[in-house]
Amino acid sequence: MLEAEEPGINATGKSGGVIASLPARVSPFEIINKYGEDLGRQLLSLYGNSGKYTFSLIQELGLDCSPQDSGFLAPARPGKELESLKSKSAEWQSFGFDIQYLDKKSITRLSGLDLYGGAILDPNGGGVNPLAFARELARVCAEKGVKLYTRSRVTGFSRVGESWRLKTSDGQLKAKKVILCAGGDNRGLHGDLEKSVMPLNVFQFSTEPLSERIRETLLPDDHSLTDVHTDIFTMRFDRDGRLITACPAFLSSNTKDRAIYAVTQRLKRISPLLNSVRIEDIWQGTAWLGTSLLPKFCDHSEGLYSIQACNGRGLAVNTLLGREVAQFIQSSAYENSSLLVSQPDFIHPYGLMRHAPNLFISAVRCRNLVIEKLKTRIRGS
Amino acid sequence: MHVAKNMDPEDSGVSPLWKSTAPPLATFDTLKGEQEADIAIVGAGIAGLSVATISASQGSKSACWRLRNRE
Repeated sequence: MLEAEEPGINATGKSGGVIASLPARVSPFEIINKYGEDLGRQLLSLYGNSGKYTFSLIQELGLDCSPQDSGFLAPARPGKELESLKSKSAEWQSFGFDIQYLDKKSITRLSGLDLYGGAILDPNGGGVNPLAFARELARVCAEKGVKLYTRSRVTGFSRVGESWRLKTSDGQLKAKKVILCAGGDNRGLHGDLEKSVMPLNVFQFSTEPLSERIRETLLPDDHSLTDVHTDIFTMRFDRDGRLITACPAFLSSNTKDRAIYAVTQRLKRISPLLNSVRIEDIWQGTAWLGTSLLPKFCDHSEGLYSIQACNGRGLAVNTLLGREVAQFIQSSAYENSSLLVSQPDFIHPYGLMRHAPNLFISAVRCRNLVIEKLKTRIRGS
Repeated sequence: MHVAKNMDPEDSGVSPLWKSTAPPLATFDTLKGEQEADIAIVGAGIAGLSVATISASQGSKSACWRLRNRE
Protein backbone atom coordinates (compact mmCIF):
# COMPACT_ATOMS: atom_id res chain seq x y z
CA MET A 1 0.00 0.00 0.00
CA LEU A 2 1.46 3.32 -1.07
CA GLU A 3 0.51 6.61 0.57
CA ALA A 4 1.83 9.97 -0.68
CA GLU A 5 1.81 11.58 2.77
CA GLU A 6 0.39 9.82 5.82
CA PRO A 7 -2.81 7.83 6.46
CA GLY A 8 -6.01 9.85 6.44
CA ILE A 9 -4.33 13.18 5.90
CA ASN A 10 -6.37 14.30 2.92
CA ALA A 11 -10.14 14.32 2.42
CA THR A 12 -10.65 11.80 5.26
CA GLY A 13 -8.85 13.78 7.95
CA LYS A 14 -10.10 17.14 6.72
CA SER A 15 -13.75 16.14 6.81
CA GLY A 16 -16.18 16.90 9.60
CA GLY A 17 -16.37 13.20 10.47
CA VAL A 18 -20.05 12.77 9.60
CA ILE A 19 -21.27 9.18 9.25
CA ALA A 20 -24.43 9.05 7.14
CA SER A 21 -26.12 6.14 5.40
CA LEU A 22 -27.87 8.49 2.99
CA PRO A 23 -26.44 9.82 -0.26
CA ALA A 24 -26.53 13.61 -0.58
CA ARG A 25 -29.49 14.74 -2.71
CA VAL A 26 -30.28 11.60 -4.73
CA SER A 27 -33.40 9.58 -3.91
CA PRO A 28 -33.66 5.76 -4.05
CA PHE A 29 -36.05 5.80 -7.04
CA GLU A 30 -33.74 8.15 -8.94
CA ILE A 31 -30.88 5.73 -8.31
CA ILE A 32 -32.90 2.72 -9.52
CA ASN A 33 -34.15 4.65 -12.57
CA LYS A 34 -30.70 5.79 -13.53
CA TYR A 35 -28.71 2.62 -12.87
CA GLY A 36 -31.29 -0.11 -13.35
CA GLU A 37 -32.36 -2.76 -10.87
CA ASP A 38 -29.01 -4.51 -10.32
CA LEU A 39 -26.55 -1.67 -9.92
CA GLY A 40 -29.25 0.57 -8.47
CA ARG A 41 -30.15 -1.85 -5.70
CA GLN A 42 -26.51 -2.45 -4.99
CA LEU A 43 -25.89 1.26 -4.55
CA LEU A 44 -28.89 1.50 -2.23
CA SER A 45 -27.66 -1.40 -0.18
CA LEU A 46 -24.15 0.09 -0.14
CA TYR A 47 -25.50 3.35 1.26
CA GLY A 48 -28.30 2.02 3.42
CA ASN A 49 -25.99 -0.39 5.28
CA SER A 50 -22.91 1.82 5.42
CA GLY A 51 -23.50 3.57 8.76
CA LYS A 52 -24.26 0.38 10.63
CA TYR A 53 -21.32 -1.42 9.02
CA THR A 54 -18.88 1.41 9.82
CA PHE A 55 -19.76 1.44 13.51
CA SER A 56 -19.69 -2.36 13.73
CA LEU A 57 -16.23 -2.45 12.10
CA ILE A 58 -14.99 0.18 14.57
CA GLN A 59 -16.30 -1.90 17.44
CA GLU A 60 -15.11 -5.26 16.11
CA LEU A 61 -11.55 -4.03 15.51
CA GLY A 62 -11.52 -1.90 18.68
CA LEU A 63 -10.61 1.30 16.83
CA ASP A 64 -9.96 4.25 19.14
CA CYS A 65 -11.70 6.97 17.11
CA SER A 66 -14.50 8.39 19.30
CA PRO A 67 -17.46 6.81 17.46
CA GLN A 68 -20.84 8.42 18.16
CA ASP A 69 -23.58 6.23 16.68
CA SER A 70 -26.29 8.60 17.77
CA GLY A 71 -27.93 9.09 14.36
CA PHE A 72 -27.85 11.53 11.46
CA LEU A 73 -30.41 14.25 10.64
CA ALA A 74 -31.04 15.72 7.19
CA PRO A 75 -33.52 18.57 7.80
CA ALA A 76 -35.12 21.06 5.41
CA ARG A 77 -36.60 24.49 5.97
CA PRO A 78 -40.37 24.85 5.51
CA GLY A 79 -41.20 24.75 1.81
CA LYS A 80 -41.27 22.39 -1.11
CA GLU A 81 -38.17 20.46 0.05
CA LEU A 82 -40.28 18.89 2.81
CA GLU A 83 -42.40 16.94 0.35
CA SER A 84 -39.26 15.58 -1.25
CA LEU A 85 -37.91 14.51 2.17
CA LYS A 86 -41.19 12.73 2.94
CA SER A 87 -41.15 10.81 -0.32
CA LYS A 88 -37.43 10.00 0.04
CA SER A 89 -37.93 8.51 3.49
CA ALA A 90 -40.94 6.51 2.24
CA GLU A 91 -38.81 5.22 -0.64
CA TRP A 92 -36.01 4.10 1.70
CA GLN A 93 -38.59 2.36 3.89
CA SER A 94 -40.07 0.60 0.87
CA PHE A 95 -36.62 -0.90 0.21
CA GLY A 96 -36.49 -2.09 3.82
CA PHE A 97 -34.14 0.51 5.29
CA ASP A 98 -34.56 2.07 8.71
CA ILE A 99 -35.07 5.69 7.66
CA GLN A 100 -37.68 7.90 9.34
CA TYR A 101 -39.40 11.17 8.59
CA LEU A 102 -39.52 13.68 11.44
CA ASP A 103 -42.12 16.44 11.66
CA LYS A 104 -41.43 20.04 12.65
CA LYS A 105 -41.90 19.40 16.35
CA SER A 106 -39.42 16.50 16.43
CA ILE A 107 -36.71 18.17 14.33
CA THR A 108 -37.01 21.38 16.34
CA ARG A 109 -36.40 19.41 19.53
CA LEU A 110 -33.63 17.17 18.13
CA SER A 111 -31.76 20.03 16.43
CA GLY A 112 -32.47 22.71 19.02
CA LEU A 113 -33.00 25.11 16.11
CA ASP A 114 -36.21 26.93 15.28
CA LEU A 115 -35.40 26.72 11.61
CA TYR A 116 -36.56 23.51 10.04
CA GLY A 117 -39.97 22.18 8.98
CA GLY A 118 -39.07 18.49 8.87
CA ALA A 119 -36.17 16.06 8.50
CA ILE A 120 -35.02 12.61 7.57
CA LEU A 121 -33.57 10.65 10.47
CA ASP A 122 -30.96 7.99 9.75
CA PRO A 123 -30.69 6.17 13.10
CA ASN A 124 -27.51 4.38 11.95
CA GLY A 125 -25.52 7.54 11.26
CA GLY A 126 -23.51 9.74 13.59
CA GLY A 127 -19.89 10.78 13.65
CA VAL A 128 -16.26 9.78 14.27
CA ASN A 129 -12.88 11.42 14.53
CA PRO A 130 -12.04 10.64 10.87
CA LEU A 131 -8.26 11.04 11.23
CA ALA A 132 -8.28 8.68 14.22
CA PHE A 133 -10.41 6.23 12.20
CA ALA A 134 -7.80 6.23 9.41
CA ARG A 135 -4.82 5.96 11.79
CA GLU A 136 -6.44 3.09 13.63
CA LEU A 137 -7.21 1.25 10.40
CA ALA A 138 -3.59 1.78 9.36
CA ARG A 139 -2.45 0.28 12.67
CA VAL A 140 -4.72 -2.76 12.20
CA CYS A 141 -3.49 -3.18 8.59
CA ALA A 142 0.11 -3.26 9.77
CA GLU A 143 -0.77 -5.78 12.50
CA LYS A 144 -2.42 -8.01 9.91
CA GLY A 145 0.66 -8.00 7.71
CA VAL A 146 -0.19 -5.32 5.17
CA LYS A 147 2.90 -3.44 4.17
CA LEU A 148 2.02 0.24 4.24
CA TYR A 149 4.54 2.74 2.90
CA THR A 150 4.00 6.41 3.77
CA ARG A 151 5.60 9.49 2.18
CA SER A 152 5.72 7.38 -0.98
CA ARG A 153 3.89 9.33 -3.66
CA VAL A 154 3.29 7.42 -6.88
CA THR A 155 4.86 9.50 -9.64
CA GLY A 156 3.92 7.22 -12.49
CA PHE A 157 3.13 3.67 -13.42
CA SER A 158 3.25 1.46 -16.42
CA ARG A 159 2.43 -2.01 -17.62
CA VAL A 160 5.49 -4.23 -17.93
CA GLY A 161 4.78 -7.76 -19.14
CA GLU A 162 2.08 -9.29 -16.96
CA SER A 163 2.31 -6.79 -14.11
CA TRP A 164 2.19 -3.15 -13.14
CA ARG A 165 5.20 -1.08 -12.07
CA LEU A 166 4.46 1.80 -9.74
CA LYS A 167 7.23 4.36 -9.38
CA THR A 168 7.86 6.55 -6.35
CA SER A 169 10.76 8.95 -5.88
CA ASP A 170 12.87 6.34 -4.04
CA GLY A 171 11.53 3.05 -5.23
CA GLN A 172 9.42 0.86 -7.39
CA LEU A 173 6.59 -1.54 -6.62
CA LYS A 174 5.67 -4.39 -8.91
CA ALA A 175 2.11 -5.71 -8.56
CA LYS A 176 -0.36 -7.89 -10.44
CA LYS A 177 -3.32 -5.76 -9.42
CA VAL A 178 -3.54 -2.08 -8.64
CA ILE A 179 -6.41 -0.27 -6.91
CA LEU A 180 -6.35 3.53 -7.12
CA CYS A 181 -7.91 4.93 -3.95
CA ALA A 182 -6.34 8.38 -3.86
CA GLY A 183 -9.61 10.36 -4.04
CA GLY A 184 -9.08 13.60 -5.98
CA ASP A 185 -5.47 12.57 -6.64
CA ASN A 186 -6.73 9.69 -8.80
CA ARG A 187 -7.05 12.37 -11.49
CA GLY A 188 -3.29 12.54 -11.90
CA LEU A 189 -2.85 8.78 -11.92
CA HIS A 190 -4.91 7.68 -14.90
CA GLY A 191 -6.05 9.42 -18.07
CA ASP A 192 -9.65 8.20 -17.73
CA LEU A 193 -9.90 9.81 -14.31
CA GLU A 194 -8.38 13.17 -15.15
CA LYS A 195 -11.75 14.81 -15.75
CA SER A 196 -13.90 12.64 -13.51
CA VAL A 197 -14.44 14.79 -10.41
CA MET A 198 -14.89 18.48 -9.55
CA PRO A 199 -13.49 20.13 -6.42
CA LEU A 200 -15.66 21.82 -3.80
CA ASN A 201 -13.46 23.74 -1.39
CA VAL A 202 -14.81 23.78 2.11
CA PHE A 203 -13.75 25.41 5.37
CA GLN A 204 -14.34 23.35 8.51
CA PHE A 205 -14.51 24.93 11.95
CA SER A 206 -14.63 23.76 15.53
CA THR A 207 -15.59 25.87 18.51
CA GLU A 208 -14.38 25.75 22.08
CA PRO A 209 -16.16 23.04 24.11
CA LEU A 210 -19.66 24.46 24.65
CA SER A 211 -21.50 24.69 27.97
CA GLU A 212 -23.95 22.07 29.27
CA ARG A 213 -26.70 24.68 28.95
CA ILE A 214 -26.13 25.01 25.19
CA ARG A 215 -25.74 21.27 24.68
CA GLU A 216 -29.00 20.50 26.46
CA THR A 217 -30.77 22.47 23.72
CA LEU A 218 -28.60 22.06 20.59
CA LEU A 219 -28.51 18.47 19.34
CA PRO A 220 -29.53 17.22 22.81
CA ASP A 221 -29.31 13.57 21.68
CA ASP A 222 -25.92 14.11 20.00
CA HIS A 223 -27.02 13.63 16.38
CA SER A 224 -24.98 14.79 13.40
CA LEU A 225 -26.88 17.23 11.22
CA THR A 226 -26.42 18.29 7.59
CA ASP A 227 -29.32 20.12 6.00
CA VAL A 228 -30.42 19.58 2.40
CA HIS A 229 -30.00 23.14 1.13
CA THR A 230 -27.45 24.24 -1.45
CA ASP A 231 -25.72 26.67 0.90
CA ILE A 232 -25.41 23.71 3.21
CA PHE A 233 -25.48 24.00 7.00
CA THR A 234 -23.92 21.25 9.04
CA MET A 235 -23.22 20.71 12.74
CA ARG A 236 -22.25 18.02 15.18
CA PHE A 237 -20.46 17.82 18.50
CA ASP A 238 -17.15 16.07 18.98
CA ARG A 239 -16.62 13.90 22.07
CA ASP A 240 -15.63 16.96 24.12
CA GLY A 241 -18.62 19.09 23.16
CA ARG A 242 -16.94 21.22 20.49
CA LEU A 243 -19.38 22.23 17.78
CA ILE A 244 -18.09 21.29 14.32
CA THR A 245 -19.51 23.15 11.36
CA ALA A 246 -18.49 23.92 7.79
CA CYS A 247 -18.87 26.53 5.12
CA PRO A 248 -18.00 26.27 1.43
CA ALA A 249 -15.07 28.47 0.43
CA PHE A 250 -15.56 31.80 -1.33
CA LEU A 251 -14.72 32.56 -4.93
CA SER A 252 -12.06 35.09 -4.00
CA SER A 253 -10.02 36.23 -0.98
CA ASN A 254 -10.29 32.95 0.83
CA THR A 255 -8.59 34.11 3.99
CA LYS A 256 -9.24 32.37 7.24
CA ASP A 257 -10.23 35.68 8.87
CA ARG A 258 -12.98 36.10 6.32
CA ALA A 259 -14.13 32.51 6.75
CA ILE A 260 -14.25 32.87 10.54
CA TYR A 261 -16.19 36.13 10.22
CA ALA A 262 -18.68 34.49 7.85
CA VAL A 263 -19.20 31.42 10.01
CA THR A 264 -19.54 33.46 13.22
CA GLN A 265 -22.23 35.59 11.59
CA ARG A 266 -23.99 32.50 10.34
CA LEU A 267 -23.98 30.79 13.74
CA LYS A 268 -25.48 33.98 15.23
CA ARG A 269 -28.28 33.90 12.67
CA ILE A 270 -28.93 30.22 13.25
CA SER A 271 -29.33 30.31 17.03
CA PRO A 272 -29.11 32.95 19.77
CA LEU A 273 -27.27 30.30 21.81
CA LEU A 274 -24.36 30.63 19.39
CA ASN A 275 -24.08 34.40 19.67
CA SER A 276 -20.68 34.49 21.25
CA VAL A 277 -19.01 31.13 20.75
CA ARG A 278 -15.32 31.15 20.03
CA ILE A 279 -13.97 29.35 16.93
CA GLU A 280 -10.95 27.40 18.13
CA ASP A 281 -9.79 25.62 15.00
CA ILE A 282 -10.26 26.11 11.30
CA TRP A 283 -9.08 23.89 8.46
CA GLN A 284 -9.70 23.65 4.76
CA GLY A 285 -10.45 20.58 2.71
CA THR A 286 -11.62 19.66 -0.73
CA ALA A 287 -14.67 17.54 -1.41
CA TRP A 288 -14.44 15.87 -4.83
CA LEU A 289 -17.75 15.57 -6.59
CA GLY A 290 -18.64 13.26 -9.46
CA THR A 291 -21.57 14.36 -11.59
CA SER A 292 -23.63 11.44 -10.29
CA LEU A 293 -22.72 12.20 -6.65
CA LEU A 294 -22.45 8.44 -6.14
CA PRO A 295 -19.42 6.30 -5.32
CA LYS A 296 -17.89 4.33 -8.14
CA PHE A 297 -15.71 1.31 -8.54
CA CYS A 298 -14.16 1.25 -12.01
CA ASP A 299 -12.35 -1.47 -13.92
CA HIS A 300 -9.65 -0.09 -16.21
CA SER A 301 -8.74 -3.60 -17.42
CA GLU A 302 -5.57 -5.67 -16.92
CA GLY A 303 -6.02 -5.69 -13.16
CA LEU A 304 -6.19 -1.93 -12.73
CA TYR A 305 -9.13 -0.62 -10.69
CA SER A 306 -10.17 2.61 -9.05
CA ILE A 307 -12.51 3.74 -6.32
CA GLN A 308 -13.82 7.16 -7.29
CA ALA A 309 -14.65 10.01 -4.93
CA CYS A 310 -18.26 11.08 -5.10
CA ASN A 311 -19.88 13.70 -2.94
CA GLY A 312 -17.85 14.83 0.04
CA ARG A 313 -19.88 12.66 2.41
CA GLY A 314 -18.03 9.49 1.73
CA LEU A 315 -16.69 8.19 5.05
CA ALA A 316 -19.31 5.52 5.69
CA VAL A 317 -20.03 4.53 2.11
CA ASN A 318 -16.32 4.19 1.28
CA THR A 319 -15.78 2.02 4.35
CA LEU A 320 -18.40 -0.44 3.09
CA LEU A 321 -17.37 -0.08 -0.56
CA GLY A 322 -13.83 -0.98 0.57
CA ARG A 323 -15.09 -4.29 1.95
CA GLU A 324 -16.98 -5.05 -1.27
CA VAL A 325 -13.92 -4.22 -3.38
CA ALA A 326 -11.70 -6.40 -1.17
CA GLN A 327 -14.07 -9.34 -1.70
CA PHE A 328 -14.28 -8.63 -5.41
CA ILE A 329 -10.51 -8.55 -5.81
CA GLN A 330 -10.12 -11.80 -3.89
CA SER A 331 -12.75 -13.58 -5.95
CA SER A 332 -11.33 -11.90 -9.06
CA ALA A 333 -14.23 -12.95 -11.27
CA TYR A 334 -17.29 -10.85 -11.96
CA GLU A 335 -19.68 -13.79 -11.70
CA ASN A 336 -18.43 -14.68 -8.21
CA SER A 337 -18.90 -11.18 -6.95
CA SER A 338 -21.93 -9.13 -6.18
CA LEU A 339 -20.01 -5.94 -6.93
CA LEU A 340 -21.02 -4.22 -10.13
CA VAL A 341 -18.58 -2.09 -11.97
CA SER A 342 -19.27 1.37 -13.40
CA GLN A 343 -17.62 3.82 -15.74
CA PRO A 344 -15.92 6.91 -14.31
CA ASP A 345 -17.82 10.17 -14.82
CA PHE A 346 -16.55 12.31 -17.66
CA ILE A 347 -16.93 16.00 -17.03
CA HIS A 348 -16.89 18.29 -20.01
CA PRO A 349 -15.74 21.01 -20.52
CA TYR A 350 -13.56 20.33 -17.48
CA GLY A 351 -11.69 23.66 -17.44
CA LEU A 352 -14.99 25.43 -16.86
CA MET A 353 -16.91 22.80 -14.93
CA ARG A 354 -14.25 22.32 -12.26
CA HIS A 355 -15.32 25.71 -10.88
CA ALA A 356 -19.01 24.80 -10.95
CA PRO A 357 -19.54 23.56 -7.37
CA ASN A 358 -18.10 26.63 -5.60
CA LEU A 359 -19.60 28.95 -8.23
CA PHE A 360 -23.05 27.45 -7.84
CA ILE A 361 -23.00 27.74 -4.06
CA SER A 362 -21.78 31.34 -4.30
CA ALA A 363 -24.66 32.17 -6.65
CA VAL A 364 -27.20 30.67 -4.25
CA ARG A 365 -25.57 32.53 -1.36
CA CYS A 366 -25.88 35.84 -3.24
CA ARG A 367 -29.52 35.13 -4.00
CA ASN A 368 -30.26 34.28 -0.34
CA LEU A 369 -28.49 37.47 0.75
CA VAL A 370 -30.58 39.60 -1.60
CA ILE A 371 -33.80 37.93 -0.41
CA GLU A 372 -32.79 38.48 3.21
CA LYS A 373 -31.98 42.17 2.54
CA LEU A 374 -35.32 42.65 0.76
CA LYS A 375 -37.20 41.02 3.63
CA THR A 376 -35.44 43.28 6.15
CA ARG A 377 -36.31 46.30 4.04
CA ILE A 378 -39.96 45.28 3.73
CA ARG A 379 -40.16 44.66 7.48
CA GLY A 380 -38.47 48.03 8.10
CA SER A 381 -40.79 50.04 5.90
CA MET B 1 -15.19 38.92 16.22
CA HIS B 2 -13.37 36.00 17.72
CA VAL B 3 -9.91 34.95 16.76
CA ALA B 4 -9.04 31.31 16.34
CA LYS B 5 -6.03 30.15 18.25
CA ASN B 6 -4.78 27.71 15.64
CA MET B 7 -4.61 29.81 12.52
CA ASP B 8 -1.82 28.20 10.65
CA PRO B 9 -1.90 30.50 7.63
CA GLU B 10 -3.04 28.71 4.47
CA ASP B 11 -1.77 25.36 5.72
CA SER B 12 -2.88 22.43 3.66
CA GLY B 13 -2.45 20.20 6.66
CA VAL B 14 -4.91 18.05 8.45
CA SER B 15 -7.49 19.31 10.93
CA PRO B 16 -5.80 20.56 14.13
CA LEU B 17 -8.86 19.34 16.05
CA TRP B 18 -8.71 15.76 14.78
CA LYS B 19 -4.95 15.66 15.18
CA SER B 20 -5.11 16.77 18.81
CA THR B 21 -7.70 14.10 19.69
CA ALA B 22 -6.42 11.15 17.58
CA PRO B 23 -4.04 8.43 18.75
CA PRO B 24 -0.47 9.08 17.57
CA LEU B 25 0.48 7.88 14.10
CA ALA B 26 2.46 4.65 14.02
CA THR B 27 5.78 4.71 12.21
CA PHE B 28 5.82 3.48 8.63
CA ASP B 29 8.62 3.10 6.09
CA THR B 30 9.04 4.94 2.82
CA LEU B 31 9.20 2.71 -0.25
CA LYS B 32 12.84 2.13 -1.18
CA GLY B 33 14.33 -0.07 -3.86
CA GLU B 34 12.35 -2.61 -5.80
CA GLN B 35 9.46 -4.36 -4.03
CA GLU B 36 6.77 -6.77 -5.12
CA ALA B 37 3.17 -7.41 -4.08
CA ASP B 38 0.10 -9.18 -5.41
CA ILE B 39 -2.08 -6.15 -4.89
CA ALA B 40 -0.98 -2.53 -4.70
CA ILE B 41 -3.33 0.01 -3.17
CA VAL B 42 -2.59 3.64 -3.93
CA GLY B 43 -3.81 6.05 -1.26
CA ALA B 44 -4.36 5.46 2.47
CA GLY B 45 -7.63 7.33 2.87
CA ILE B 46 -10.71 5.57 4.15
CA ALA B 47 -11.41 3.69 0.89
CA GLY B 48 -7.89 2.28 0.50
CA LEU B 49 -7.51 1.46 4.19
CA SER B 50 -10.84 -0.34 4.21
CA VAL B 51 -9.88 -2.46 1.17
CA ALA B 52 -6.56 -3.31 2.83
CA THR B 53 -8.03 -4.14 6.24
CA ILE B 54 -10.66 -6.48 4.85
CA SER B 55 -8.31 -8.12 2.34
CA ALA B 56 -5.85 -8.78 5.12
CA SER B 57 -8.62 -10.22 7.32
CA GLN B 58 -9.65 -12.81 4.75
CA GLY B 59 -7.71 -15.67 6.27
CA SER B 60 -4.74 -17.17 4.47
CA LYS B 61 -5.22 -14.85 1.53
CA SER B 62 -3.64 -12.12 3.63
CA ALA B 63 -0.32 -13.83 2.98
CA CYS B 64 -0.41 -12.36 -0.49
CA TRP B 65 -0.11 -8.97 1.07
CA ARG B 66 3.30 -9.59 2.52
CA LEU B 67 5.73 -7.98 0.20
CA ARG B 68 8.77 -9.84 -0.88
CA ASN B 69 11.97 -7.94 -1.06
CA ARG B 70 13.56 -8.74 -4.36
CA GLU B 71 17.07 -7.85 -3.31
